[in-house]
Amino acid sequence: MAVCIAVIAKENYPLYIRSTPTENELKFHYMVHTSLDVVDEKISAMGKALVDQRELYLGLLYPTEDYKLCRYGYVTNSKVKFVMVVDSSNTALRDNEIRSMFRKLHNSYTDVMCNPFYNPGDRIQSRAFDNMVTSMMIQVC
Amino acid sequence: MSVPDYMQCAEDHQTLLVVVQPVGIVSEENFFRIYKRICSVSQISVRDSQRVLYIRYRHHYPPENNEWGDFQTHRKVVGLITITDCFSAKDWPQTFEKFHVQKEIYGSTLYDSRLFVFGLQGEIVEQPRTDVAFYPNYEDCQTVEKRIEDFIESLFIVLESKRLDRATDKSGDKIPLLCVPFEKKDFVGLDTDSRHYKKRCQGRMRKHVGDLCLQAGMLQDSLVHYHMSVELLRSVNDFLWLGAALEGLCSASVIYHYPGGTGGKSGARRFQGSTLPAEAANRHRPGAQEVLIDPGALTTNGINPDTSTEIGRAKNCLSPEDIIDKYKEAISYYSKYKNAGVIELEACIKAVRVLAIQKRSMEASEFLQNAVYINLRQLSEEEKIQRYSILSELYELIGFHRKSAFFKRVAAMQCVAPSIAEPGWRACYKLLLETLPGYSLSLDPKDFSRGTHRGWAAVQMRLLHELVYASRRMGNPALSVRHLSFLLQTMLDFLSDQEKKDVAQSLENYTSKCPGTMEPIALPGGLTLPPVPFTKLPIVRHVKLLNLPASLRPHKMKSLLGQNVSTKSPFIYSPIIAHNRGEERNKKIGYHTTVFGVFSDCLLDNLPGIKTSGSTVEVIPALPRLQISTSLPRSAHSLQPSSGDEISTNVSVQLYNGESQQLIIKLENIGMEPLEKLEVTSKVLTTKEKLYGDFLSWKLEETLAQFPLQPGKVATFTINIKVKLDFSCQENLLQDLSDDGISVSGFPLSSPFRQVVRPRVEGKPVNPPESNKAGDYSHVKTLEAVLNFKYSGGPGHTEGYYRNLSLGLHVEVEPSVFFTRVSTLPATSTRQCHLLLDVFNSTEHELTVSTRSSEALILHAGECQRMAIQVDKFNFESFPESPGEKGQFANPKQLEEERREARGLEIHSKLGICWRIPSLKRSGEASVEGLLNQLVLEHLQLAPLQWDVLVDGQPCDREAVAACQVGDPVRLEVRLTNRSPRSVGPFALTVVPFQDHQNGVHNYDLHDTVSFVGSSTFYLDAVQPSGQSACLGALLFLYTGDFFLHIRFHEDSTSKELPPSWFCLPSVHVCALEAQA
Repeated sequence: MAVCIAVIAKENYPLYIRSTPTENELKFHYMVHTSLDVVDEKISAMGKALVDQRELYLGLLYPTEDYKLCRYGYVTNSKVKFVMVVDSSNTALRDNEIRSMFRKLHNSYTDVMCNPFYNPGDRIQSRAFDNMVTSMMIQVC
Repeated sequence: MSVPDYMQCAEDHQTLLVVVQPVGIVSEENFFRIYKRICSVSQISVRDSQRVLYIRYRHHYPPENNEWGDFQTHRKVVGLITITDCFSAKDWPQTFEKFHVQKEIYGSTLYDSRLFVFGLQGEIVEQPRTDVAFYPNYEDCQTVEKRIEDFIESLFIVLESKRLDRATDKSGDKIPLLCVPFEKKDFVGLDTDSRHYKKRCQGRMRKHVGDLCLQAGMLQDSLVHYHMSVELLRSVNDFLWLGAALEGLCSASVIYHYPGGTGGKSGARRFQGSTLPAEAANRHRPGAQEVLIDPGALTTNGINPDTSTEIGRAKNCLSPEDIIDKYKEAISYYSKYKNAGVIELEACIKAVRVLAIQKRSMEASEFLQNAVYINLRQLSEEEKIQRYSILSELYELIGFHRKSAFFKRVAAMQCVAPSIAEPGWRACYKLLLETLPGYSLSLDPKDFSRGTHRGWAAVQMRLLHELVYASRRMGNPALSVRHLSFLLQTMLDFLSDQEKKDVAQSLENYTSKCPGTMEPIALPGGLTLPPVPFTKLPIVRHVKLLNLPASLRPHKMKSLLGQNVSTKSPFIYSPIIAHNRGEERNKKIGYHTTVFGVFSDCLLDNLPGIKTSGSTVEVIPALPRLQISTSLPRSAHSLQPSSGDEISTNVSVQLYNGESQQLIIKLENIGMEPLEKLEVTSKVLTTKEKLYGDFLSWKLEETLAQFPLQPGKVATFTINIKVKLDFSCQENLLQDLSDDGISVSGFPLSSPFRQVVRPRVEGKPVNPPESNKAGDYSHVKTLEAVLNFKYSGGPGHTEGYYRNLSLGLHVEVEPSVFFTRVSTLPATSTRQCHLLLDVFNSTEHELTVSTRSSEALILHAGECQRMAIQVDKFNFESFPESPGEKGQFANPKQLEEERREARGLEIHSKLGICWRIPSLKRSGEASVEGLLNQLVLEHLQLAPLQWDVLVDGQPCDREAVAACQVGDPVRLEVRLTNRSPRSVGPFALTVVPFQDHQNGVHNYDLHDTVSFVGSSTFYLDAVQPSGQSACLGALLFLYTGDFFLHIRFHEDSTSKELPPSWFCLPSVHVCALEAQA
């Protein structure tokens, strides 16, 4: 089950962040923020190979210090990053499942970008995107 | 062993640990002075520079860590240096005793020790001792370094002997089992003769020898020993020591590959706390190992004879990849032992440092992650802070800035954890500041002024809140105000409405004690907090430059060539000058606000919402400032909008028509520059009223005499205001005074015939409605004028600028007297005439009217009276034509107007009609200028033909009575002077004598009483222009009596085309007296 889903702009500021309402939101902000280090590192490590292979999935970023939560990353060709924090305590998700979740997220994000009234770089306020994220946060439960 | 050394790095394995400690009471300052000097001796070449010894100094080292000295020899304290103060010889034994006590602490592992005594003098000092050095004071101790070098040499000897001792320990003797403190009880009762046990002993000893070799500067030997040890220990599953052997192998390899070190310079690191081995990182480049250390450089001397020569050097040394693998392995072995937590933690840190140099951040982060999980025991708060700080530094080292900032912030929060009795807000604040780069937050608002917001607003806001709180708790309100201002300014878009409210409220609370300024705040750490102008509060939507108020606006004096241009360059226009002007454009234009107690100077350039094409303000040198105050009250009246000028001050005055008043103007220089120049001009705003005379007049010279006017000084300037409007009754609504009931004051009229001139068309309605009447005579007229003061001075004057101050003058003119009708009566003399004026008092006060030659006429309010003034006729033609000449090109109408005005002025000055209101003590002039029409003027004008009658040679005119004797003939002469531009005549004149019976009867039948000698008719020839002619006759009076002579023109001789007034002849009054006997 995803507990937090974030979309981060190329310039590393959040375009969208949603976390389970029961938890302290700021904690997830910190969590996603710190995971950007790894994302950056992975992107720079992959370099051009990434573009050629079209492999956008970054895999497991790292487990957090204090909980059984795992962070997964995904980066689009326009360097927009998706970070998902997944609670791995009760269900062990397979890589493929995470991958498909990211793909769905990416598709929905593409839809948002297609909206002529959306200004790239602004916070995402699309209801469709919101619904999709909500569904992903419950779905895998 | 429970105290980890977070500063450890791989090359520490080759160092010898020396503890430097004070004994007794030594001031910290003195101790660290010596300690620093000792630390400078961290490398010693021994054996003719074949080998290098590295020393690690500590001023504090937990003895329990010392117990792990056999496990890793670099943990073993091999040297002790104590520093002590001792001032008298009798204290000496005690001091020396203390030194021994101190030695006991590390006694089991010490190779050697030294005591540095400061302050002691005398015979004790004379005794040469190897373990004690005496210095008179802390200044005079030049030999400290030399002493330390000697001390290290002695350590080396012991080390070398131990190494050789152990190394040559061949299997013949029984090898002791080295063990770590917690193992000791595990080996009780173990079969010491078993092969397994022996192998274990051998393996551990090999590892130990490897350590010693590494310390003794024999890298290659150590590698060999470590390899052998790994082989041995792996076979007996002695994991802890296997880990140690692997780590030793890694350390030696790291030292080999990275001679620059992985942890920075150890000596300096301790003090500066710097974590980034920048130079070490720089030194690392692919293939460095081949270049930096040539394996051949190691001489045979460096290779111990007993090492197995079949193992090649290159094979012994691990590759950079292998180092990490071996570290991983070692750490996995360590992790099997709970008691070896510190060892594991330190190994992780060492590996991270190596990975940082190798730029393998991902793997390094895994090691760090592992280190985070290692639970040592319940840590003290201080240790927690240290641990988080180190984690932060290490994350920084591997380029994980966000992670680093995260841990630094955790460390900062730890400083003020509720469990701490005295929260360290300063430390917390300092650490928080260090996290700023990690959150890509700069405290300069300029970085936020353009483009999209950078960084993660949620965490940045959190951090700013924490900075505000920490700085407040630190007791630095200025700092918290600055941070809070910054938060409000830069995060405004991200704050919710409630948060905005809260932030604004707390900002107001803070600023009530410490207002926000525009001064940069310098922090002790060298960071400067730039001021935060609130460019978003309020939001500026539109900016327009407004010109200065007209009174302050500088004007450029008009000149053919700009003064400065001509002096700077020979060209009239030079692009260089134009360029210079452009450079001055970076002068900033902004505005000043105070919001929530924070003063802001906002520059227009920094405003986000405004796209100005740039506003240019030309700044000119300073000019003085003039402030004027007048004797008259200020008025709220503003002048007609059409006046064009912007008036700074308006004054108003109410005057009666004809009144004059002085306007005293105080000129005060309120600027900083002396006022040097002043020009005054006036402009009367167009009015439909006809204005006679000078409305405003002044003498500037008196004022200019007080110049230059220094700042703060006052000069006075006087202006005469004189209002003289038309005194005629325009509407003529006043009932004409009837000619019948004429009441003429002044002279008794004795006029041969009357010429009543009615200036107005008769037959107008004589009795208009009463209501209108009152309104018309209290009709107030308004005059307005603008006085312009152009002034300059100071540097602005030299640059050719001036300022213009305008004073609006508003004069309300109330009517004083009216001349409702004007007419003339000829006087007895042809040269004179009576001017009849119907004067109407339109004021509500009693008023007196006087002329130059007559007494005052009292008029009650609303009363109208006629006054007659005898005036000499005017010879207008003799006026100089100068005003007309210059108007050659002006149209004739204007010329005529000018001439008329000049005549009016002449008449006015002759008459000098004044009015006075005694009750108000006000007085003024009254002028007839406006009401003299052509007809009246003609009457007032001297005829061009001037007739003079002389009786008995005496000019006879007016009331003068010529006396003569009965019986004597009286000479009568009539002279004609022609002033007209044409020739006149000839004329025939008849003299008709008559007697006035004073009862209206004129007796012309005087043939018996008056006889003419000669003809009673005179003939004058034609007279040329400016010619003169005279005719003579004589009269003989036969009886006494009063006779009048009426001289008449013959009907047929008068030229009809000439105006009758030209032929106005005086009547002659002759009194015939009894002849004297």
